[in-house]
Amino acid sequence: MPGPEGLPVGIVAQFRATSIERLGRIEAAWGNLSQRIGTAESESELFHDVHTLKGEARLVGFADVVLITQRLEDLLVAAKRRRYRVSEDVDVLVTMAIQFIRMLLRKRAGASQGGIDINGFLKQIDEVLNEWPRQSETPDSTGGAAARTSEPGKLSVAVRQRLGNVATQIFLELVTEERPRLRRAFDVMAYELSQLDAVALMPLVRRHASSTKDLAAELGKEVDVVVEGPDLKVGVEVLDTIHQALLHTLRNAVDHGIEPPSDRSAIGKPRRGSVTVRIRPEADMIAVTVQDDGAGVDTESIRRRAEALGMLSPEEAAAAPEATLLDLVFAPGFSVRESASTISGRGIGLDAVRAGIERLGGNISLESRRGKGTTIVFRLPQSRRVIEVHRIPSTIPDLAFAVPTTWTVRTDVSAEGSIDPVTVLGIRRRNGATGTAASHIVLARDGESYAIAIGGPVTRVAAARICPTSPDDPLEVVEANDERLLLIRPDAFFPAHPVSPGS
Amino acid sequence: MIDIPTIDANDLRATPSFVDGQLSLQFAGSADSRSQSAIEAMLQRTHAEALRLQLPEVAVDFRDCDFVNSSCFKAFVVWLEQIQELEASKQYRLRFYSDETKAWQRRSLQALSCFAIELVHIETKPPRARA
Repeated sequence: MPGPEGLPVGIVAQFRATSIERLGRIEAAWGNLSQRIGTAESESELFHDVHTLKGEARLVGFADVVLITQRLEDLLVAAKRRRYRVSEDVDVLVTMAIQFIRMLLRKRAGASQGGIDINGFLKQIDEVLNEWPRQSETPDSTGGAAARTSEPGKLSVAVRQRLGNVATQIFLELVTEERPRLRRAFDVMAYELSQLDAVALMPLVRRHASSTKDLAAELGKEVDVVVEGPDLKVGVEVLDTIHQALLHTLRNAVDHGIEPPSDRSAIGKPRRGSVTVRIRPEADMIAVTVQDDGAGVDTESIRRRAEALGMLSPEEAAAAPEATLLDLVFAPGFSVRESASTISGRGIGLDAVRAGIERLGGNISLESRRGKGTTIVFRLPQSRRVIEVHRIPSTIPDLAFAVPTTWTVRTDVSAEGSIDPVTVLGIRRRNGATGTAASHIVLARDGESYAIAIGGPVTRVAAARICPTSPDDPLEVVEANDERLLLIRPDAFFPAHPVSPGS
Repeated sequence: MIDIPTIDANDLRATPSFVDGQLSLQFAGSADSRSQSAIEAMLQRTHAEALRLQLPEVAVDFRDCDFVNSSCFKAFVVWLEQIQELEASKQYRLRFYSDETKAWQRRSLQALSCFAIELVHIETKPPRARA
């Protein structure tokens, strides 16, 4: 049975103690491996410890610990692939991830924490994973093991990245010329690539529904759990995020939303409470609604708590509308221990849930009416990985570039030595099209810098990786706000494309 | 007067200053494992002095710093956690000055700020002209 609500305090304390001990081992093993003095045995124990920590955290409902541990595991797997030849700032990030988990485990419920920004921390890890320095990649000594698949019938990451590369080449052909058949081919390819990771969502939802009924029975409540909607497929990362969100919202609905049968009868409600999980496709998003007919959220206790934590001044707290108060339950660092009877026993679940959802480009909202019930809706892309990029207009119409935000942009530069990526790519302007007047920027990172010509102001956007290529590939197509952008990895792109006159 | 040791060894120089009520630590060079205990001692003293002087903020200038390794960076995490443990009325903020051209500073400091977004402020500046 998942969730801390039904667990004795001793078990949660045991989990904390064991996990902190485990983190000590993880840190020591990482220290050795990153200095390349670790043994195969310590490596094996490291991965076992991380995996076990993640699994146990999931069981006791520490969603924030699950999220960070998952990404730590991803970092470690990526580091292992590079035989632990990682740059020092990656070493810092791994160490800080371990510290971050330690802090989450030690967090005293109800204490002021300042604001913990789980989403921000995950973004730092994602940046490393998305833009791992290409020079640290170690060729596979077996000459192709990386291309083999671990499961029959599944394509390896390497094959998918090669297909992503092919899609990018097709996209380049479409920049200069409108070719409807090729456009359709690109669309199909991008869609199919996004579906390669997809798994059915409904089995997960049904498992949660069944667990929710068990939890209700344990708590002496009578609850019908209804599941509605088509059996959609989602990406693995999206599935894991939905799992975390359902774990918390359903547990809260049963434990804190639905009243005991006698209480319900006394106020004229049916003895049996109702919880509905509704799945609905919305364009390329998926909406999951969790609705209960319980007591609703006690906004007055949120008001008091927000004031006590200093998140709202007394005047702001007094004047805060209900929507503002409800939104606070998702805020980083909003410990609701004192209002455990209204939202969540541990009080840190919902900020972690929102962090996980927003990281994938989704959103979550909560509506509640006192005495009537609560509705939580979360929307997620069906299968996406999102990265932050600088959107950079090119010097020709209908094409914008993207550069990962791990690169800084300096705008006060002259044209001297500046390269136009459009020229480098050999893209010719369409017949009759005129170029956009160029200005110049410098992209800089870790001592490398490249001056480039651009066609407009640079903005920062979240972009979906619709057909991911390898970190070694100079180009990739990403999508932001319904616009397809050509992502450039400067360290791979510019050295491979020396500018020559007339190119 | 402040009682905080200066560090000047093993490629690292760290200098405390207290001017116009602003307590600052300026780091230059590289901090590797050899400097870990010196940094820990410096931050411990800085914490004590910030409490004694009831300061609202302490500044840490990394702009001339070429690198801080993981074990030294952990000392800053521990420092931040000590501040978090204080009662709200005694907590003080950390203001980090970073060089916008050094990606490691941005990444490490942004990750650090996620531990306590209300207590950490990062100010990114162009590189300081070297003398």
